[in-house]
Amino acid sequence: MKGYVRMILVATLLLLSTALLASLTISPLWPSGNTWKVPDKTGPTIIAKASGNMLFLSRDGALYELTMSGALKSYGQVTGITNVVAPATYFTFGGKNYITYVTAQGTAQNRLVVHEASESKKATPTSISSSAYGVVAQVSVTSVYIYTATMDGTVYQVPFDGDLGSAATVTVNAPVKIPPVLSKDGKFLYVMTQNGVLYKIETSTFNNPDDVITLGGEFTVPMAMDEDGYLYALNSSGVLYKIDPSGTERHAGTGLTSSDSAGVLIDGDGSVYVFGGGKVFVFNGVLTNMTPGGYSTGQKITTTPAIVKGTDGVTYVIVPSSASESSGKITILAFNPTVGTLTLERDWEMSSSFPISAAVGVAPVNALNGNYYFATATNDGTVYAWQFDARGPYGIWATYGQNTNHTGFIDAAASLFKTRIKLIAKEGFNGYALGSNFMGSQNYGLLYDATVLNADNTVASSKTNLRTNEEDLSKIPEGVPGSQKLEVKFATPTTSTLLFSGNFKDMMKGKNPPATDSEFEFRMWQTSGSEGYEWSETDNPATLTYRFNDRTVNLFTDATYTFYVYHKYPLTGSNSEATETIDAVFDYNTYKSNPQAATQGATATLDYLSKQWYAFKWNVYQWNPEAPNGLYDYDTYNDRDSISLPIKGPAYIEIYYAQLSSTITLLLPDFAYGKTRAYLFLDAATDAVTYTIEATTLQGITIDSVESAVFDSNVGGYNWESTVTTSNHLKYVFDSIQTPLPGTTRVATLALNLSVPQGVEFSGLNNESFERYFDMYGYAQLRNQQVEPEALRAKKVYEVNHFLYVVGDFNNDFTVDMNDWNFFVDKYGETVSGTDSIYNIGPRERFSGPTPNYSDYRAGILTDKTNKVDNLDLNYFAVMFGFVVPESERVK
Amino acid sequence: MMYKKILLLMLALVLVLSGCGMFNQSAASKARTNVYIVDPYGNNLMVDGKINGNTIKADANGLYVEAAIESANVQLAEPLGIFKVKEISVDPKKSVTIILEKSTNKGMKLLRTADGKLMFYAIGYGDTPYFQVWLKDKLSSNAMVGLNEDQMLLAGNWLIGVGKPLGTINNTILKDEIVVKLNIPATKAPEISKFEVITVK
Repeated sequence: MKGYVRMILVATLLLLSTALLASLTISPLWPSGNTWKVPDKTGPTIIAKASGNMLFLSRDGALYELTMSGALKSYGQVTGITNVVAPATYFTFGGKNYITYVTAQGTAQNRLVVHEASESKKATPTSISSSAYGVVAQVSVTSVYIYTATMDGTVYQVPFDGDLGSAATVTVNAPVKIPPVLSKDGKFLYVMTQNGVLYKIETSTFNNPDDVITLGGEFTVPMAMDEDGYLYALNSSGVLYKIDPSGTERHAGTGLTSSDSAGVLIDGDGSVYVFGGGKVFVFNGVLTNMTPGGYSTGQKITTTPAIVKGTDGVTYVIVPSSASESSGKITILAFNPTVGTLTLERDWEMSSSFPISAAVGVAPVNALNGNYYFATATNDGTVYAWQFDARGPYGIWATYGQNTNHTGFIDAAASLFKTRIKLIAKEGFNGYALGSNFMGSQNYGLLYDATVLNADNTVASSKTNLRTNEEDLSKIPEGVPGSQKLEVKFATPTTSTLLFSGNFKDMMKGKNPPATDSEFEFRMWQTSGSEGYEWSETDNPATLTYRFNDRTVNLFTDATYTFYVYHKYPLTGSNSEATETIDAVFDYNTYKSNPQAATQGATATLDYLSKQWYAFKWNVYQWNPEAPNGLYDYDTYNDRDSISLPIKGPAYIEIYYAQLSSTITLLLPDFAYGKTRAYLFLDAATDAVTYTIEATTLQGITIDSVESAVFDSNVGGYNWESTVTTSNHLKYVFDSIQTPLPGTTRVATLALNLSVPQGVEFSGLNNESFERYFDMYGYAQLRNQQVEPEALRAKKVYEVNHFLYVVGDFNNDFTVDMNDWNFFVDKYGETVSGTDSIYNIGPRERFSGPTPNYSDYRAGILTDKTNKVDNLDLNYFAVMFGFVVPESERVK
Repeated sequence: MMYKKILLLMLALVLVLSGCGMFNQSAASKARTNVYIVDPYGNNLMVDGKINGNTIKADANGLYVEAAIESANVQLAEPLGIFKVKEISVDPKKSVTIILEKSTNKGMKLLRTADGKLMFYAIGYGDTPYFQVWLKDKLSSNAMVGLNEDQMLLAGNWLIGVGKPLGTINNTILKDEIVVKLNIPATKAPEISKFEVITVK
């Protein structure tokens, strides 16, 4: 395949995969399609409600509900209404649903209306002094205040308790053509006049408007507020202002030539969207243009768009625009903040234009499965709605009036867009999440109590005994990003059964194995990375902030695992079994930087019922969900007095004992290569009468000779039957029954000359590793001993002695002195072989001289292949000269 | 204002001069008398002791005491073994020279040199070609010295020995009077714990 063809294919695949990964799945909201025309009504406002039902308020004050079942419910029409320009606001009070709106009608009396959204058709209008463009609705349990400002400079505060009360008013001395904005805490109302003067009015007193700042230009499109309380306002020349309500501002030219009719929006990442002259630009929080090229719809953006977040992680903005009275379109743009682009995702042409009132609404159809929908409408009374795999409004001010209800301030109570904080508890050894996959469907994760707090720290909701690592989304407390917080408190440790259950429990021996094997409790939060907690790692209770994307926050646990040990002795009756439980504690703080250091020992009980035993076999089962069987690791150990296990999960340990009749010990140097001295001992217990020693070398190791064989005089001195059958096998037997031994006795000591074909480091090996090189068998029959066949052997012990071979000690007297020197000198310069090979001592790997302490000595492995005794050997001799192995370290 | 400037100037001057050590009278006024302890073979040694109550010290320039010595009362604290003091001569305020002489015709001894190394003496062992001495204190490193065409000295760890030679040796150190400087740093002369004759079959 030619190179350019391959490149084209790769590029195509990349583009296809990109397109597949980053796209919205969109379908009509209703079974009948994505349009619904309300007959004879024009210029509507749409209020998107949760579940897919939506309210439709026509320009002339007729209110309908369009239901997902296809029903069009009429909620009546207020007389005298001819022109509703700004989107209406929706609120719930006293168990009833209302919309409120203002008119901007030239000749007839302007009104502020509260219209109950029900078939009881109750509506209460009150007169206002001039045209108005939008309302703010502040709802509490006991009261509702509706705010608006008019083109004659009057600002209204109208109470509502089911009926409209008397309005309080103040004057700002200039026309107001945009809706006011209420501060997050509801204490101040911000009113921007058309000529750029921002007023602040204390809502509790509602008098003496405070002239905060004067800006340049004309202001005719709605403002937005960010989480920190900064207001964003766009003038009709395209200058964007960021205003600190304490009286300062910064501004930037946006590149827009006008402001059209769409309000400023802010997404969940703090990016600020402005619309004008048919174009869209995005700015960051310091007013730097993130999208230098912007995006041009080619039409006027005649109502406020909405921002959503796709499940693909992309931020989308839904932009209605109008070309003429009979032409408009909806454009969905994908915003890429990394490359600074707004790209076309989808668009639809309409045969009508979009009124200012038809700001895009976004609400869940079914929030649990993530399905949301958006809706808007054209001047001819046609509603357009699609459902899609995106959630919104995504951002602190991502739609007209901040929230889907258009209440006009950062209003947690009105927000339909909520996010979740998923807590993931992990054990510390492997970092496994303590989910139901490991812990079952009942006792997974950690128990915690959760309280959702409002911005003023009042309690929005609370739940107890929730679980971390929750898969059921309905059990994860939701909160409103930008205003609500989640307080969590861990108190009760979680007990669980990771291993000791089901078929495994049936396999366990001993009376009453534990019903649970693990306990976890909160220790600390992860505080770094995208899944970290934002405050101190040990906070409990802890307060987490809801963000505009669902969060996952990790925490780590201390764990206590049960090691259940079953001891089996070759006895009869109840004495044949014993059990114990060991608590293995993984302290996260101690081991977090080196989990592998967390180990717990289990020790055999060798002194039992006044007899000596040895543990000839261990069966060890330890929880490991990644093991091939999906549940546990299984290991066997032989001839161990104790074992050490990682504290990574519960363990079940079986220890099988035999009566200690003898111990066969193989003593080796820490390193071996070539000719190697080793010792084999048999120690027999009191009352021993017959003996056997047998050893087979493996992996190419051979037994060159038995340097010496010394037997205790009590068992016949040198009169043992002995056989060295092959170069890798020896066997010594003494089976002539003698007087039982009066006490524990070393009955045989064999000094062996081994030949090791490849370098081996014996130091640090466990019994099982030694048994790759040696197969040992020993036996001592005790007088009157009842022996099970499996226990008919000696305890096997492998030992390493650093001083078994001392470099430069040619006469094996544990010193390197002038006697050795005189031997060495005689061979210096020669190429040696056979027994003289001992003089070839260097160079060596892993050699360490006896400096500064004798215990630092390591013989290492000879790497010289020349067999010549030369200067390299002399260097090693010089380092070793004068060294004496302490008496305590010498092999007797 | 001018008064303050003068005060600040004076303060700065004081700081600069004090940094130069101008006011450090005590260091500048210490007296030094060089000390030479010489073995019968002309080697400069270091032996712990005092002269007129002043401790004998060593630095890169050799041994000295921090005093102006005009007449010397020498008290050597370290055993001299096979040596004894033969003569003490004083060049007033400049030097004290202590000459050692052999006190026996047979014996061994380790002493420190003035430059911090070791001297090994084996006197009267001409009839013992191979021998070794075990030390109570471990040597800080090892050394090999060809003594003569028949003998070689090795030192390391806890042992100093004389054995067969290796290679060509140009030294002509007498078998009966082995005097060798060992290039082994030492802050104390090791004591000998055991002497062994080495026999060769």
